[in-house]
Amino acid sequence: MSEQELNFRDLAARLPASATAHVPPADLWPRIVATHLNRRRQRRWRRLAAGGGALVLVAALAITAGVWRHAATPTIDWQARAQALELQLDALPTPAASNPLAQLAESELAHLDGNLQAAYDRGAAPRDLDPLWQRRSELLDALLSVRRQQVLLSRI
Amino acid sequence: MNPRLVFASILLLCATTATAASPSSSLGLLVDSANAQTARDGLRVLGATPGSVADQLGLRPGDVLVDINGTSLANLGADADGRALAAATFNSSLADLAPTAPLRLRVLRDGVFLAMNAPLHAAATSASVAPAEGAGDPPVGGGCGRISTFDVAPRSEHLYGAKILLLDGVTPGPTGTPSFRVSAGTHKLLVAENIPTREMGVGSYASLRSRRDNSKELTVTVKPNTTALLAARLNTEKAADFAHGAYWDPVIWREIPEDCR
Repeated sequence: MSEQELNFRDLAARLPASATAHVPPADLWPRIVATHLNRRRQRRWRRLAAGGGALVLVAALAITAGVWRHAATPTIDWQARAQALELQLDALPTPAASNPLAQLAESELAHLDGNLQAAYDRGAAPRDLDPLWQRRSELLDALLSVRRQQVLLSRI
Repeated sequence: MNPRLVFASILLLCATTATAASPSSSLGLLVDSANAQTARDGLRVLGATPGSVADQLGLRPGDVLVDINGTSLANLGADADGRALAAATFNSSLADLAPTAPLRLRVLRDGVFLAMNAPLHAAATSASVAPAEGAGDPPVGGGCGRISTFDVAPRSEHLYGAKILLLDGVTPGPTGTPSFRVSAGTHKLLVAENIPTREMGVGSYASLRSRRDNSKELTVTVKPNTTALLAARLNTEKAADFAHGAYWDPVIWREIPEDCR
């Protein structure tokens, strides 16, 4: 106990001398604060960068998946479809009487074929030809349904 | 080949036809004029317009036109733009024919040569549809008629497919039917347009988002034994006006006589 008191006294006696010997510089605390803020700022930037990177990664994955899905989706060969429908139409017996709906379809087909031939003549790109072949396919489909109905009615 | 000569010949040939872009078109023949590589053996037939001279001749997709009236179409090569010279030769041979001259074609089909002949004046035949009798007359009571979404409307008039959502407040059926039998008289339709996005001139995403609620009402008076053909007319000047739906209108673009029984 008295030894302890002695120690404290001893320390108390020595303290003023060592305290004055190690007086911290005046800018220490501002430097500590600045360093601390700097580290916080760096951590925040690192988090932001990581988040941004993750977002970019997710977006890149989504785009890749979309492109892959688009590539995987079977595209319709409208030209082949139209030609197949035309052959089906040829195989049907010629109707005895004309049908107004069939006439409308034929009239629109004639107009479309004129446009399609003009497109080929000017060397149009496939992306310009494709919608025309699609429309031809739709019209042939419509004409085929009318002709089939006519054949069915004539059999009845 | 002189383009003016070809143009004059085309005009001469087209004098008897309603609509024609080139001599082959006036026959109702669709040929692969763009690709010289596929024209080694002759000019490849891509299609024949149903009901046309080419169709009546018996031409079909996949046929190869080897010669026309003795002029060979094989191994003619390409023009400066890489297009098949066979097409130009075919068109000029066709344009040089007198209107009453016979058209003689030698055709290669599945490895077999076929001969096809027809008088050229047959090209004058063209499909035309008369309006329904009594069109514009007041509706007659009794009888029945049809409302059809049969999509054969001319795109040149900005007419596109339409779908009937409700017919007099009821979902019409059966599903997939393009034509609905109705009593002669006035009917109320709720119509949705089926205009392809590419015709809008805007991005597909924006278009799809704004076209969710795209139905419109239309009152139709159906005459007895008449089919009223329904279409969606694209208002090209307001093609981007999705918010108010001003970009389209449902229309009856044609009435044709048809027994509705």
